[in-house]
Amino acid sequence: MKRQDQDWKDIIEKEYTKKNILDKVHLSTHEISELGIAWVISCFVILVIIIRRDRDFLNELFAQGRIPNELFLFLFALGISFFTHELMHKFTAIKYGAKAYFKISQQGLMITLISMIIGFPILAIGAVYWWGEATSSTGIRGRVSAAGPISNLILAGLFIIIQGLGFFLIESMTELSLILITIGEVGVWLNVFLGTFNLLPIGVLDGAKVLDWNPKIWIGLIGSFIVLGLFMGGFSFYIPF
Amino acid sequence: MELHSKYLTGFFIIGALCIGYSILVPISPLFSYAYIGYTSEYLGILLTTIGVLILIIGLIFYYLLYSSERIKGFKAEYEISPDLTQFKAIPYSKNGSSVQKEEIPDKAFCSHCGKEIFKPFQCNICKQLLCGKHYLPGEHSCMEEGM
Repeated sequence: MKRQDQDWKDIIEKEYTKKNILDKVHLSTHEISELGIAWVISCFVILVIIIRRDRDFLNELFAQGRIPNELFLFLFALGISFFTHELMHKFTAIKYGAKAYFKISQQGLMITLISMIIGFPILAIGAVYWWGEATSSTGIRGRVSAAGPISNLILAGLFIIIQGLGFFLIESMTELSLILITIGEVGVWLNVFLGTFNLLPIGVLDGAKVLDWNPKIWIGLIGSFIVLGLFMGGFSFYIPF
Repeated sequence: MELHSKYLTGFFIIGALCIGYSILVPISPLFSYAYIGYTSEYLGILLTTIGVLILIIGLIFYYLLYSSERIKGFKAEYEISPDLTQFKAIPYSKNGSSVQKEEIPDKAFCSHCGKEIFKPFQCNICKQLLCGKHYLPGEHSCMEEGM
């Protein structure tokens, strides 16, 4: 390689790194759009399953031409929990020197559509694919897969705090407090659902890799999620039909 | 752990999950009675404390995630004492003192003649990738760059 070529390479690399802000965060517009599509599909699947379970849900939502606040709050809460879950996988993988990106998988889409027909929710629309030297060790595999459920646990704590604030403000500011309570309820429920489902030790889910790495951490995580689900009502979604 | 034993443990885990599912799901509505009969202020205090506790638990889990445990098969270097009795792992760094193995790609272009070659040679002195004709230091322009 000649010296001139090396100079040109340096100049080109500098140009590319300077221009794009998303490259600094290791993201691309394509990936964000795939995340958004997966978010919309998961919203659709969960709503369809809820509507199939109680028929009055839609009538209550659009009763007498009022704005369906709960729908937007649900979209918001699911967006936050889904995006943080996937991006934490990605960023921990990048932290250990691997390359990672989120991608929608065809098989996962088929499984989610079948689960929507059956009535038992399995959200496996996409996954974070990552490769590099770090994939060879079970420790790092376990860490990268544990990062998602732990972020869900932290988000559940934040949503419970929001719910508590709503109960504090119920006398002074009733409308705001109602919004806070509903978003807290929905957020806790969604995060418990996502966390417990991803921690099941089956095949490609995160739980198997965490169990391979460190069984103590897996037991601690799933125990905290079960206690949360019992007291905050995250398991009602698992009842078939 | 061998493969068949892994499958066996998987079956055990799935059975345990089914039993747990059949116990947990019918019980879970009963826990909603824990909130009946309290004022809103009490509920607010209770929920905020529970939320803070869960936040702390989650942060402890994150601390465990990035704890300094020795990771197998990952980039780590070892420092050996002068009398060769002890050694310890140190974090990976690109210092001049440490020796690191660089992987040679399967396909490359000879930096002297420009031919595409499979399994190239690497010059020990200037670290260029070269073909069989030009890999000796006298054949290519060695020491000119890359030192």
